[in-house]
Amino acid sequence: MWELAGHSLDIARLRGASYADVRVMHLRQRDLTTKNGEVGTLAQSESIGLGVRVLANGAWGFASSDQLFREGVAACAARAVAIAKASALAKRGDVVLVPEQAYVDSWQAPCRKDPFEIPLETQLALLLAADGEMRRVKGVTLTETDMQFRKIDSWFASSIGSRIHQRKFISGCGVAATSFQGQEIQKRSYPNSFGGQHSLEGYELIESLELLKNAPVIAEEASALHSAAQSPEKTGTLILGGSQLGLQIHESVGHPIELDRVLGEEANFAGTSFLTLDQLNKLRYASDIVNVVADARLEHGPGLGSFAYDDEGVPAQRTDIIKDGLFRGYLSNRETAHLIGLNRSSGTMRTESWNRLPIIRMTNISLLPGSWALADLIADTDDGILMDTNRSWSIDDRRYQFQFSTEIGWEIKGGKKARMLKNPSYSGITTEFWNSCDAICSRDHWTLWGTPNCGKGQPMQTMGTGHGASPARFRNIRIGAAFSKQ
Amino acid sequence: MSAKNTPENSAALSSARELRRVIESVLHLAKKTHAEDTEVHVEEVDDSLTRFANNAIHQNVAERGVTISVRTIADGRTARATTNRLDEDSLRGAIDASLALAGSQPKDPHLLPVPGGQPLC
Repeated sequence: MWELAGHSLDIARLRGASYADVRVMHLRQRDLTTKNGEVGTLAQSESIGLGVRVLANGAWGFASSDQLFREGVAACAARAVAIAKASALAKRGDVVLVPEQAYVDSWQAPCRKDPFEIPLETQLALLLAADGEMRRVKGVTLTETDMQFRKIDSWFASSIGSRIHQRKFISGCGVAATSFQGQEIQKRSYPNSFGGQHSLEGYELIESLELLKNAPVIAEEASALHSAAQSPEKTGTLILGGSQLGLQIHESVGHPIELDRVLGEEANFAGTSFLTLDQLNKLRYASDIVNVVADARLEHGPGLGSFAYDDEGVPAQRTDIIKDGLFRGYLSNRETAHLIGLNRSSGTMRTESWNRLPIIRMTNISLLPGSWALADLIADTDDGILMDTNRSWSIDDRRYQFQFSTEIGWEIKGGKKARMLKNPSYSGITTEFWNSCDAICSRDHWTLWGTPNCGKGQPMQTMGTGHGASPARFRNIRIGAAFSKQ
Repeated sequence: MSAKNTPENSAALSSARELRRVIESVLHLAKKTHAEDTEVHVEEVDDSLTRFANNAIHQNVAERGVTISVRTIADGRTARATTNRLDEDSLRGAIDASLALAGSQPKDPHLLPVPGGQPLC
């Protein structure tokens, strides 16, 4: 791989590139799903190729190819340079990159059990057994399970001398039970909705989830939700479970801090951002107890945003995003870092595949834990609602006004978890919401949730992001109910 | 696919004959397995995209690639595996992966056979 990568860099230089980097990537994927006790998807794929990014005449060009032989990669590199020269015909100014060192390294994310070495029959049997556990529960009308595995090898080389190999395993799994009754649909998912939990781990993740134990629990809840009370509509106290808070972070912190959106260079899928450059180090984003970081280092956990180097050859870092409630940082790259006064990229350039241009991406955007035990937090809440597991979301294209609904709610009365509530939702304005946070649970309740399906860019790229969160309490929140009968 | 590519014709697509050769290779290799039926789908793309923002080109990208998708049917079971590697070992690997995926699941009593040859307009 290094020989091909080096050859493409040589060709790019010969053709006039002032900078070039290349990623050779080999991706393997396995997907399994079941529905109502029958096998749904059962697919395996692999893809290998190379992408060359160059600067020529002060502008970017990118070309990719799966022709992994000398003539093929040479043609690809030459095409990237030709594209860059064409881009230069419509540029505002020359692209300026902040400095970065060259690195020669090989890194592998921890993986105790290679999921591709576990027999398919074993994986499918587990899903079918979990599916069966849910179907045994009266009132459940649709059961779904899924399992996904990815193995990614990437070889990064750049004209400044970096040669970085990284290997990652990504595993994910989840189950869901849906109950139809009359005009109403209720659903419960474990351990999270929209595909479950995903992380930078091997098959050990699947084994840790205890699917067979938890599947009947959520099935019972899905059925019981039909006879639960409707969530009230009021302004009050809200406690969010960790997985829902993870998505809240993703949508109302993660997307608006992507510097390409801030600068108006990206608007696909999530729009632009309310976080204009003048607000850095000035905006009271949240209450004093709120600390949010972008942390791609493995020390933060095996998140979908964990790596050793980003796809621009910049080492993984931890960046303060919100520090003691104050807005402190964006997600930047080598091209944009200097625009916010930094002399180094925050290391957030990521690509979905060899045939996609690296773009600024969330890494692990996490709310740091507080000090509360969940039981104490509930005991300290006289009147409120605990909401858990996302059901739907909506946020405007500057990431400022939002509405979320969750699969389940629990009434908190007199410091005790009381009756189940159905169709809960809440809405708010990003900064008002985060400034209303008055309690965050401790590390004992903290989970690094994986969001495997974040879409961005054109051509669209799907990327996994991580969001660490523990349950937290918010005051004076507008609470509502989906499907309410006015 | 062609080793004749040069920088000047890097965007050239493979000929229909070259792509048909891939299909024939897969079908030939599959005959040596216990697959009763095999379906091959070959797709080649050459995409270019230019994006403008703030009155300038900020992203200008091109992509070329081939995808070979193989679906086998054996003993009332079917599954699909995909690769973009065209060497014989990789094509055989895709067939084997498809058969392994199919073999790991229960029989599907409703599974339909691959349609016979169809006339093309």
